[in-house]
Amino acid sequence: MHLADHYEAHFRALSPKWEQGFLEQRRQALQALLRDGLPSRKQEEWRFTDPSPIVNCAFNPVVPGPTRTATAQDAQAYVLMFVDGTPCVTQQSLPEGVILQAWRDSPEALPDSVRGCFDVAGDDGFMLMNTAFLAGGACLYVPPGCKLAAPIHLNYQFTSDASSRAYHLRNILVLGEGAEAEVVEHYHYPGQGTDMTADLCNVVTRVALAPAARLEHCQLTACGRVSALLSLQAEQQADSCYHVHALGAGTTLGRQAFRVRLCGAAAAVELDCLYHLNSDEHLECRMLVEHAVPNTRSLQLFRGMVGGRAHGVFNGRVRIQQGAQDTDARQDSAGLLLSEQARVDICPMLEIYADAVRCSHGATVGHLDEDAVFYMRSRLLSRSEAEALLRRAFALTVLERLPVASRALLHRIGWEVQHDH
Amino acid sequence: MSTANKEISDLLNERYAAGFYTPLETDSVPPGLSEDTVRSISARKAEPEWLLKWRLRAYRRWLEMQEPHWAHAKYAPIDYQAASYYSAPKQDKPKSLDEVDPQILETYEKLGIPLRERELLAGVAVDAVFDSVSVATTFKEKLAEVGVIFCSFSDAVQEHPQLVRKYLGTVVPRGDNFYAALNAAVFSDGSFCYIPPDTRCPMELSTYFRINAGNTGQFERTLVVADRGSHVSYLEGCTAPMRDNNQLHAAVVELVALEDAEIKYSTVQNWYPGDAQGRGGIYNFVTKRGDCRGARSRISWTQIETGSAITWKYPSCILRGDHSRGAFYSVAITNNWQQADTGTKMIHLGRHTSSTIISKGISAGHGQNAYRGMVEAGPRASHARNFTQCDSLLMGDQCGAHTFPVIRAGNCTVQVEHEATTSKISDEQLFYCRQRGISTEDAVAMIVNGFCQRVLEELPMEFAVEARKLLGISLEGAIG
Amino acid sequence: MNMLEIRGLEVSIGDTQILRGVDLSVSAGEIHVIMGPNGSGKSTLAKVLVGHPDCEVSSGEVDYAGRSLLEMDAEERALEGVFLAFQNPVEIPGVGNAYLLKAAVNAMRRHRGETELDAFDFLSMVREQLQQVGMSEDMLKRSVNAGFSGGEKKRNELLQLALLKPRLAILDELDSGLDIDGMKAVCTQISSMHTPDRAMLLVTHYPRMLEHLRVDHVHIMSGGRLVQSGGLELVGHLEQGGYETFSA
Repeated sequence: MHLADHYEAHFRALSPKWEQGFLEQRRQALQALLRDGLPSRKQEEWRFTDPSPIVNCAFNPVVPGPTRTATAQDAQAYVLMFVDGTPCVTQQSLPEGVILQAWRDSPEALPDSVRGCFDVAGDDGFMLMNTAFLAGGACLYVPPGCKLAAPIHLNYQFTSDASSRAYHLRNILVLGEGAEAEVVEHYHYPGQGTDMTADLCNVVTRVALAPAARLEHCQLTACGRVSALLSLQAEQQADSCYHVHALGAGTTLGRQAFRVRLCGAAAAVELDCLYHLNSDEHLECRMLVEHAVPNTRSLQLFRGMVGGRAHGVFNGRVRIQQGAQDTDARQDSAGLLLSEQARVDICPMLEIYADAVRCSHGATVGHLDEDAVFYMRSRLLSRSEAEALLRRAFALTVLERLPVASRALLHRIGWEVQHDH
Repeated sequence: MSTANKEISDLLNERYAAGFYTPLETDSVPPGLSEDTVRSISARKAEPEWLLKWRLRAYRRWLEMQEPHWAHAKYAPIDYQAASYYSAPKQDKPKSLDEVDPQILETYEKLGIPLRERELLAGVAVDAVFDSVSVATTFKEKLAEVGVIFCSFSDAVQEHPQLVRKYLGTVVPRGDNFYAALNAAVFSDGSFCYIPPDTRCPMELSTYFRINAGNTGQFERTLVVADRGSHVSYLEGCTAPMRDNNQLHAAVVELVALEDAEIKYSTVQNWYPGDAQGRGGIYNFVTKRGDCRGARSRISWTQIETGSAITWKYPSCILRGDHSRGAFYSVAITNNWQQADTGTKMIHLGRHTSSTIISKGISAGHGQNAYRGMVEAGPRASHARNFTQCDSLLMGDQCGAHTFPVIRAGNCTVQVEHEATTSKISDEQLFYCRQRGISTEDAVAMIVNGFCQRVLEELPMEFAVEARKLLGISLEGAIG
Repeated sequence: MNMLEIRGLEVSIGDTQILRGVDLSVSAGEIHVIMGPNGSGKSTLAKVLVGHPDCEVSSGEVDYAGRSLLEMDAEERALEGVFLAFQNPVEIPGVGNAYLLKAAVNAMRRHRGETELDAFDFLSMVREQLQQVGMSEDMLKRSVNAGFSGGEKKRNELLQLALLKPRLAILDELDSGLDIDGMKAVCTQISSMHTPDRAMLLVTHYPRMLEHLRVDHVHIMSGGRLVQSGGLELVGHLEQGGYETFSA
C-alpha cells in the first residue's frame, strides 16, 4: 500500500476517537502532508540526517487510552507520567493557579496563553504529521509571580514491544510574568533486549516565557533503537531567562531541534546540549536563536562524544536581526571522537544584520588527549580509567551547569550520562 | 549614523579609479549562447578537435544544470542569451609587444601595469588579458631559459597541447558546477603556466584581467602546474569600466602541485563594484581549486576582494598527497550594495595533511558579507589538522556579516579548531586615536589595516602595496 | 598669561547636565588637582577639554594658549599639546601598539614642522622611554591596550605622555587600579615630567597620591562645580570630614 494511503486510512479510522474542536487543524495538516510529503536528504535542513528510514516506514500512530491515576513515586517533584502515551496522574498538591495536566483532559479550562501555543511554526513534514496525528502530551502553566519550589517531572515511559508505532506528542510550557520553574522532560525507552527498532517518537515542545519568567528546562532522551524527533520552540519576552539542558544517550536516528526567539529586551537564553553516541547511532542537534530586538543574550553550548561507527552532528545558528543592537551571542561547540570510525559534523553559523554586537563562536573537533592519558597511566591508572576520566571532564562543561534540584531528580531516577563505557 | 560610521563610509566611497573605458574596434560574436557560439569561439582560436569536443560536452552538461541559488546573495535573474561570449580588440595577434595597439598599452599603463619592456616591473612577468583574449605576455623568453612556460591559454593549446590535455579539467571537471560548465564551454583565453621539476620560478608571474567592452562577459581559464619540487608565486588582478548594467565574469582556475611543489596564488580583485545605489557592477562567479596531488606539496590562496557587485567564489584545496598543506587567506570588503559569498573548502584526503584558513570580512553601507567554508577529513585522512580564524568587522547598522562553516571529521585522529569574532570600529577607538593627534581617516585606515594584517602579510610585496592602497590604508611600519 | 582659562563652563552628556559652571585658571609649570566624589563631574571636565563627542557644551568659554579651545576639533587640540591620559583607555585589537605610537609621534612632528622619524629612530627613542615607565619591549608588539592589565594600560598612557610631550597634560584617575608600588612609580614618572613650561591637571579621588607630588592647587568638585580651591591643606580636611563638608 502506498504510504499516503496508509496515513489517510489511519486518519479516517482515528478521527472519530479524537476531540472535535481540533479536528479541522488535523485535517489541514494531513492535507498539507499528503501534498508536500516528508523531508528528504536533498533539503538543506536534512543534509546531515537522512530521514529516509523514517519516511519509508509505515508507522501506526498511537491513540493513547484514557487518563489513569497512579500512586506518587517521587515526593520531591511534581510528576506527570505517560506510559506508552497514556497519562497517569498522581495526587499532588500544586501551588494555587498552577496547571499540570495532560492537556487533552479539559482543554477548554486552559488559559488563553496556553491555548495559543498549539500552533507550531514551520511546515516541516514531521511537524505536519505531529499535528495531524497528535496523541496528547503535557501542559504546564505557572501563573504570574509563582515560583515553584520543586521541579516538574514530565516522565514519558515506553514499555510495549509492539513495533512500528508512532507517538506524536506535544508539550506546552507557559510561564506567567515573573514565574519560575524547573522542568525535567524525560523520554525513556527500555534498553537492549527489546526490539522496538521501528518506533517513532515525534515530540514538539512549545515554551512561552512572559516578562521576567525563568525556566530551567532539562530534556533527557534515552531512546535506544527508536527514531526520535524532538523539536522545541520557545518565545521569550523581556527580562526572561531560559536555560535548556539537553542530555542525550544513544538513538538510532535522532534529531533534536531548538528554535528560540528572543522578543523582549534583556531576554537571555542558554542552550546546553550533551550527548554520547555509540555503535551505529546517529544524532543531530540543531539550534536556532533569533535575536529580534536589541539587548538580548544567547549562548549555545554543545558537547558531543561519538564512538563506534556513530555519527554526531551539531548545527547551530544565531540570527541577529536588523536593529537588534547590543546583542551578545556566543557559540561554543566541541566534538570528541572516540573511535576510528566515528564521525562528527559541526556547523556553527552566524547571521548578523546589526553592527553593535558581541558575537563569537569557537568550534573544535578532536580526540582524547594522549599526553593526559599517558600522564594518568604513569600515575597508575588503567588506560580505560584514564579515558573515562577525560570523557567525564569533557562532559562536565555541560553537566556542572545543571540546576541543583534537577540534578537531584536525575540522580533519583538513576540517570547517568554514559561517559564511562 | 554615528560619526565613526559616517566618516568610514566617506572613506570607503572614494571613486573607483579603474572605471574608465577604452574605445576600440572589436571583433565580437553576436549576443547569445548556442552550440554554434561554442563552435565559433573554438574556430576563432583554431583549436584541435579534442578541445572542441570537450567544450561541447561541457555545454550540453550546462544545459541540464540549474543555476545555484544557495549563496547569501540577491539579484535579478541573469539572461544568458543577452550577452556576447567573445569580444577581442580587432587586430591581428601581435607577435611582440611593439605590435600591441598603443591604446591597449596605454590602458594598462593607466591601471599601473606597464607592459613596454623598458618600463616593465622588475621581477614580475605579466600576461595581460583584455576582454576575451591575451594581448601580451612579458618576459616569456627569459622564463623559457629556465624551462618555465608562461603564456596565454590559446598559445598553450597550440604550443603545448600535450601538457594542456594532460591537466585541463583534472581539478575542476567541466561539469563541476553551473558556472564552471559555462566556462568550460565558452572560455576564450587565460593564462597557462608550467614550472618544470626542481625549478624555482625566478620571478613572480601575474595575469592582469581587464574587461573593457560592454554587454560582454569574461570567461577565462587559468591552469598552473608545478612539477615535482618546483615553486611558483602567481598574482592576479582585475578591473573593469563603470557601467550601469551587470556583467558576468565566470572564470576557472586550476592548480596542480606535484610532489614537494609549492604554489602561492594571490588575487587582488577590484572589478567594478557598482555605484552607491547598487546599479551595475561585475558578477564575479568564479571556481578556483588547487590539487595538492603529490606528497608534501603546498598550495596557498590569498585574496583581497574589494570589487564586484556579487562575489561567489571558494578557492579550495584538495589535500591528496600525504603531508600536503593548504591555506586560504582572505580579505573581503563589501560596501554600498555589494554582496560577497566567499570562503574555501579544505578537503583532506591524505594522511598528516594540514590546512589554515584566515578570513577577514569587512561590511559597510548595505553590504552583505558571508564566509562559507568546509573543512572535511575523511576516514583515510588520519592526523589531519585544520585551524580556522574567521573575523568580521561591521561598519554601520545596515550591513550584514555571516559565517557558515561546516566541519566534517571522519576519523578520530582529526583535529580541527574554528574561531570567529565580530567587531566594529567604535567611536571610543576613533576618539582615542584623535586625542593622540591622528586624523579619523588615518585612524580608520590603521584599524582596518590592523584587522587585515594577518592576510596582507601573505601577499607578495608587489601586490601588498596595491592591496593596502585599495583598502584605503597606509603601509604599517616595520615595527611591531 | 594663564595657559588654560575656563569660565562658566556648562556641559551635558545626553540629557543630563553634568558641569554647572566651572571656572579654573592654570598656568604653565603648575600642578592642579581636582578631587571629588564619583559622579561629581571630574571626568567630564577632563573629557570636554579634549573634545570628546559625548560632551555637549551649553555655555561658557575655554581659552588655551590664547585660542578658544572649544572651537578646535579633537585632533587639533591634541596637536596643540592638550593630552588626556584616559581613565579607561580603549582596546584596539589588531593595531600594533608601536604603530599607533609612531603614527601619533609623527603626526605631532609634522604639525611642529619637524621631520618624521623612521622606524629605526623611533624605536631607539621609544626604548629610552620604555625603561622610564617600566614597560617591557614586547608591549610594543601587542595590540593597543588589548589584554593589558590595569597597570599596563596606565603605563602605556604614561609612555604616550612621555613621547608626545604635551603642554597641558590631563591625567584622569591615573592612580586607579594601581597598587602602592605602581602608584609610587607613576608619581615618580609624573614628577620627572613636571617642567616649567608644562601644566598638569590631575583628576583623582585618592588623596594619598598627592603625598608623592609637588602640588600647587587643589580643587574640590561637587555637583558639577568647583566648590573650593586651596592648597594641600584641603586634602587634610577631606581625610577628616569626607566630601560632605564641601558640598555646594
